Amino acid sequence: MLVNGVRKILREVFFGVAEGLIMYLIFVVAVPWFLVNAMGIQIPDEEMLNPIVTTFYLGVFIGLGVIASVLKQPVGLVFEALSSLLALAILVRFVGPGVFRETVEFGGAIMDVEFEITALLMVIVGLTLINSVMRMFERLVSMEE
Amino acid sequence: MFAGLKYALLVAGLTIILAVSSPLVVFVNDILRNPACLEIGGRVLEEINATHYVVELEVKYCSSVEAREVKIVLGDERIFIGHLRRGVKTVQAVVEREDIEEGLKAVEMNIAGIFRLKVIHR
Repeated sequence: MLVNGVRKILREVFFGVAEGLIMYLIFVVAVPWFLVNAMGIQIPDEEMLNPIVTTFYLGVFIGLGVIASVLKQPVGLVFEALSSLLALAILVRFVGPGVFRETVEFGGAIMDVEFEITALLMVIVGLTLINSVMRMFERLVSMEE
Repeated sequence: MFAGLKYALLVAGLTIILAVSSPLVVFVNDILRNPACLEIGGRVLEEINATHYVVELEVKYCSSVEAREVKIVLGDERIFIGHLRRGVKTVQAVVEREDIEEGLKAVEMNIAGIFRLKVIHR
Protein backbone atom coordinates (compact mmCIF):
# COMPACT_ATOMS: atom_id res chain seq x y z
CA MET A 1 0.00 0.00 0.00
CA LEU A 2 2.71 2.42 1.11
CA VAL A 3 4.99 1.28 -1.69
CA ASN A 4 2.19 1.87 -4.18
CA GLY A 5 1.60 5.35 -2.76
CA VAL A 6 5.30 6.23 -2.98
CA ARG A 7 5.47 4.81 -6.49
CA LYS A 8 2.45 6.90 -7.51
CA ILE A 9 4.00 10.08 -6.08
CA LEU A 10 7.34 9.32 -7.75
CA ARG A 11 5.55 8.77 -11.06
CA GLU A 12 3.70 12.08 -10.68
CA VAL A 13 6.96 13.86 -9.82
CA PHE A 14 8.60 12.28 -12.85
CA PHE A 15 5.75 13.41 -15.12
CA GLY A 16 5.92 16.90 -13.59
CA VAL A 17 9.68 17.12 -14.21
CA ALA A 18 9.20 15.83 -17.78
CA GLU A 19 6.43 18.38 -18.41
CA GLY A 20 8.56 21.21 -17.01
CA LEU A 21 11.52 20.10 -19.11
CA ILE A 22 9.38 19.98 -22.27
CA MET A 23 8.02 23.51 -21.63
CA TYR A 24 11.59 24.74 -21.00
CA LEU A 25 12.95 23.06 -24.11
CA ILE A 26 10.17 24.46 -26.30
CA PHE A 27 9.92 28.04 -25.05
CA VAL A 28 13.40 28.81 -23.71
CA VAL A 29 15.58 26.69 -26.03
CA ALA A 30 13.76 25.76 -29.26
CA VAL A 31 11.83 29.00 -30.00
CA PRO A 32 14.85 31.35 -29.46
CA TRP A 33 17.08 28.94 -31.42
CA PHE A 34 14.57 28.92 -34.28
CA LEU A 35 14.24 32.72 -34.26
CA VAL A 36 17.99 33.39 -34.08
CA ASN A 37 19.45 30.61 -36.26
CA ALA A 38 16.72 29.68 -38.73
CA MET A 39 15.25 33.15 -39.22
CA GLY A 40 18.27 35.33 -38.52
CA ILE A 41 16.42 37.50 -36.01
CA GLN A 42 18.17 39.29 -33.18
CA ILE A 43 16.39 38.86 -29.83
CA PRO A 44 15.64 42.37 -28.48
CA ASP A 45 16.31 41.44 -24.86
CA GLU A 46 19.68 39.62 -24.79
CA GLU A 47 19.32 39.23 -21.03
CA MET A 48 16.77 36.50 -21.73
CA LEU A 49 19.55 34.25 -23.08
CA ASN A 50 21.67 34.65 -19.94
CA PRO A 51 22.37 31.12 -18.52
CA ILE A 52 21.34 32.25 -15.01
CA VAL A 53 17.96 33.48 -16.31
CA THR A 54 17.37 30.37 -18.44
CA THR A 55 18.31 28.10 -15.51
CA PHE A 56 15.86 30.04 -13.35
CA TYR A 57 13.13 29.42 -15.94
CA LEU A 58 14.06 25.73 -16.03
CA GLY A 59 13.61 25.58 -12.26
CA VAL A 60 10.29 27.42 -12.34
CA PHE A 61 8.93 25.24 -15.17
CA ILE A 62 9.95 22.03 -13.38
CA GLY A 63 8.57 23.33 -10.08
CA LEU A 64 5.24 24.26 -11.63
CA GLY A 65 5.10 20.96 -13.52
CA VAL A 66 5.75 18.92 -10.36
CA ILE A 67 3.25 20.91 -8.28
CA ALA A 68 0.60 20.65 -11.03
CA SER A 69 1.19 16.92 -11.28
CA VAL A 70 1.35 16.10 -7.56
CA LEU A 71 -1.48 18.29 -6.26
CA LYS A 72 -5.04 17.05 -6.43
CA GLN A 73 -7.28 18.48 -9.12
CA PRO A 74 -8.60 21.07 -9.63
CA VAL A 75 -5.84 22.82 -7.59
CA GLY A 76 -3.17 21.37 -9.89
CA LEU A 77 -4.90 23.01 -12.85
CA VAL A 78 -4.01 26.45 -11.50
CA PHE A 79 -0.30 25.59 -11.67
CA GLU A 80 -0.76 24.04 -15.09
CA ALA A 81 -2.28 27.34 -16.24
CA LEU A 82 0.56 29.28 -14.56
CA SER A 83 3.11 27.19 -16.46
CA SER A 84 1.39 27.99 -19.78
CA LEU A 85 1.13 31.69 -18.89
CA LEU A 86 4.83 31.77 -18.02
CA ALA A 87 5.59 30.15 -21.39
CA LEU A 88 3.56 32.83 -23.17
CA ALA A 89 5.18 35.59 -21.10
CA ILE A 90 8.64 34.29 -22.07
CA LEU A 91 7.64 34.12 -25.73
CA VAL A 92 6.32 37.69 -25.68
CA ARG A 93 9.45 38.87 -23.83
CA PHE A 94 11.61 37.22 -26.49
CA VAL A 95 9.94 38.71 -29.50
CA GLY A 96 8.11 41.74 -28.06
CA PRO A 97 5.33 42.89 -30.38
CA GLY A 98 6.99 40.98 -33.22
CA VAL A 99 8.88 43.93 -34.70
CA PHE A 100 12.67 43.81 -34.85
CA ARG A 101 14.88 46.77 -35.69
CA GLU A 102 18.48 46.47 -36.64
CA THR A 103 21.09 48.84 -38.07
CA VAL A 104 23.27 47.27 -40.74
CA GLU A 105 26.09 48.53 -42.92
CA PHE A 106 25.84 47.51 -46.52
CA GLY A 107 28.24 48.67 -49.20
CA GLY A 108 29.36 51.57 -47.03
CA ALA A 109 25.80 52.76 -46.45
CA ILE A 110 24.12 52.56 -43.05
CA MET A 111 20.60 51.21 -43.13
CA ASP A 112 17.87 50.68 -40.57
CA VAL A 113 16.11 47.38 -41.12
CA GLU A 114 12.65 46.95 -39.65
CA PHE A 115 11.21 43.49 -39.70
CA GLU A 116 7.78 42.34 -38.55
CA ILE A 117 6.96 38.71 -37.71
CA THR A 118 3.59 39.28 -36.02
CA ALA A 119 1.89 36.56 -38.13
CA LEU A 120 4.29 33.87 -36.96
CA LEU A 121 4.04 35.13 -33.38
CA MET A 122 0.24 34.93 -33.54
CA VAL A 123 0.45 31.32 -34.79
CA ILE A 124 2.78 30.29 -31.95
CA VAL A 125 0.71 32.11 -29.29
CA GLY A 126 -2.54 30.63 -30.70
CA LEU A 127 -1.17 27.09 -30.73
CA THR A 128 0.18 27.50 -27.18
CA LEU A 129 -3.22 28.70 -25.96
CA ILE A 130 -5.07 25.85 -27.71
CA ASN A 131 -2.63 23.35 -26.21
CA SER A 132 -3.04 24.84 -22.72
CA VAL A 133 -6.84 24.80 -22.88
CA MET A 134 -6.78 21.21 -24.15
CA ARG A 135 -4.43 20.08 -21.40
CA MET A 136 -6.66 21.62 -18.76
CA PHE A 137 -9.77 20.12 -20.32
CA GLU A 138 -8.02 16.75 -20.35
CA ARG A 139 -7.23 17.09 -16.64
CA LEU A 140 -10.83 18.05 -15.85
CA VAL A 141 -12.21 15.08 -17.77
CA SER A 142 -9.78 12.67 -16.10
CA MET A 143 -10.75 14.15 -12.71
CA GLU A 144 -14.44 13.49 -13.34
CA GLU A 145 -13.69 9.94 -14.47
CA MET B 1 -9.43 10.40 -26.16
CA PHE B 2 -6.99 13.28 -25.89
CA ALA B 3 -3.84 11.46 -26.98
CA GLY B 4 -4.87 11.41 -30.63
CA LEU B 5 -6.07 14.99 -30.48
CA LYS B 6 -2.75 16.07 -28.92
CA TYR B 7 -0.73 14.43 -31.67
CA ALA B 8 -3.04 15.89 -34.31
CA LEU B 9 -2.55 19.35 -32.76
CA LEU B 10 1.20 18.84 -32.60
CA VAL B 11 1.37 17.79 -36.26
CA ALA B 12 -0.99 20.60 -37.34
CA GLY B 13 0.96 23.13 -35.27
CA LEU B 14 4.33 22.13 -36.68
CA THR B 15 2.91 22.12 -40.21
CA ILE B 16 1.44 25.62 -39.77
CA ILE B 17 4.69 26.97 -38.27
CA LEU B 18 6.72 25.42 -41.09
CA ALA B 19 4.31 26.71 -43.74
CA VAL B 20 4.31 30.24 -42.27
CA SER B 21 8.05 30.46 -41.63
CA SER B 22 9.42 28.65 -44.71
CA PRO B 23 9.10 31.68 -47.06
CA LEU B 24 11.11 33.74 -44.60
CA VAL B 25 13.77 31.06 -44.19
CA VAL B 26 14.13 30.81 -47.99
CA PHE B 27 14.19 34.62 -48.35
CA VAL B 28 16.86 35.05 -45.64
CA ASN B 29 18.89 32.25 -47.24
CA ASP B 30 18.65 33.90 -50.67
CA ILE B 31 19.71 37.27 -49.24
CA LEU B 32 22.65 35.76 -47.35
CA ARG B 33 23.81 33.92 -50.47
CA ASN B 34 23.46 36.97 -52.66
CA PRO B 35 23.47 40.28 -50.75
CA ALA B 36 22.67 42.08 -54.03
CA CYS B 37 19.48 40.07 -54.33
CA LEU B 38 17.43 43.24 -54.61
CA GLU B 39 18.87 45.85 -56.93
CA ILE B 40 17.13 49.09 -57.81
CA GLY B 41 18.24 51.21 -60.73
CA GLY B 42 16.62 54.04 -62.61
CA ARG B 43 16.90 56.46 -65.47
CA VAL B 44 15.10 59.60 -66.52
CA LEU B 45 12.87 58.90 -69.51
CA GLU B 46 11.33 62.27 -70.12
CA GLU B 47 11.33 65.78 -68.74
CA ILE B 48 7.75 66.94 -68.26
CA ASN B 49 8.70 70.41 -67.04
CA ALA B 50 11.44 72.08 -65.02
CA THR B 51 10.46 70.27 -61.82
CA HIS B 52 8.87 66.98 -62.91
CA TYR B 53 10.37 63.99 -64.69
CA VAL B 54 9.17 60.63 -65.91
CA VAL B 55 11.59 58.02 -64.56
CA GLU B 56 11.88 54.34 -65.26
CA LEU B 57 12.80 52.24 -62.26
CA GLU B 58 14.30 48.83 -62.83
CA VAL B 59 14.04 46.41 -59.93
CA LYS B 60 16.07 43.18 -60.03
CA TYR B 61 15.01 40.54 -57.57
CA CYS B 62 16.63 37.13 -57.12
CA SER B 63 14.66 35.32 -54.42
CA SER B 64 12.22 32.53 -55.22
CA VAL B 65 9.89 33.93 -52.55
CA GLU B 66 7.43 36.47 -53.90
CA ALA B 67 7.78 39.96 -52.46
CA ARG B 68 4.36 41.59 -52.32
CA GLU B 69 3.31 45.23 -52.15
CA VAL B 70 6.81 46.48 -52.79
CA LYS B 71 7.17 50.24 -52.35
CA ILE B 72 10.16 52.43 -53.00
CA VAL B 73 10.55 55.77 -51.29
CA LEU B 74 12.44 58.18 -53.53
CA GLY B 75 12.90 61.46 -51.70
CA ASP B 76 9.39 62.26 -50.47
CA GLU B 77 7.70 60.25 -53.21
CA ARG B 78 6.42 56.75 -52.49
CA ILE B 79 6.40 54.65 -55.65
CA PHE B 80 4.33 51.48 -55.71
CA ILE B 81 6.14 48.64 -57.49
CA GLY B 82 3.62 45.88 -56.79
CA HIS B 83 4.46 42.19 -56.52
CA LEU B 84 7.97 41.03 -57.32
CA ARG B 85 8.97 37.62 -58.57
CA ARG B 86 12.46 36.47 -59.48
CA GLY B 87 13.63 38.53 -62.43
CA VAL B 88 13.47 42.14 -63.49
CA LYS B 89 10.51 44.49 -63.25
CA THR B 90 10.33 47.99 -64.64
CA VAL B 91 7.97 50.67 -63.44
CA GLN B 92 7.47 54.19 -64.70
CA ALA B 93 6.66 57.02 -62.35
CA VAL B 94 6.47 60.77 -62.31
CA VAL B 95 8.74 62.27 -59.69
CA GLU B 96 9.96 65.68 -58.76
CA ARG B 97 13.52 66.80 -59.41
CA GLU B 98 14.17 67.17 -55.64
CA ASP B 99 13.13 63.55 -55.04
CA ILE B 100 15.61 62.34 -57.63
CA GLU B 101 18.33 64.44 -56.04
CA GLU B 102 17.51 63.09 -52.57
CA GLY B 103 17.73 59.54 -53.92
CA LEU B 104 16.49 56.24 -52.56
CA LYS B 105 15.36 56.55 -48.96
CA ALA B 106 13.53 53.31 -48.17
CA VAL B 107 12.22 50.05 -49.54
CA GLU B 108 9.16 48.34 -48.10
CA MET B 109 7.83 44.89 -48.88
CA ASN B 110 5.81 41.98 -47.57
CA ILE B 111 7.76 38.73 -47.83
CA ALA B 112 5.25 36.25 -49.26
CA GLY B 113 2.56 38.63 -47.94
CA ILE B 114 3.29 37.51 -44.37
CA PHE B 115 6.37 39.31 -43.02
CA ARG B 116 6.73 43.04 -43.44
CA LEU B 117 10.25 44.27 -44.15
CA LYS B 118 11.32 47.89 -44.30
CA VAL B 119 14.85 49.02 -45.12
CA ILE B 120 15.53 52.69 -44.47
CA HIS B 121 18.62 54.32 -45.93
CA ARG B 122 20.07 56.81 -43.44
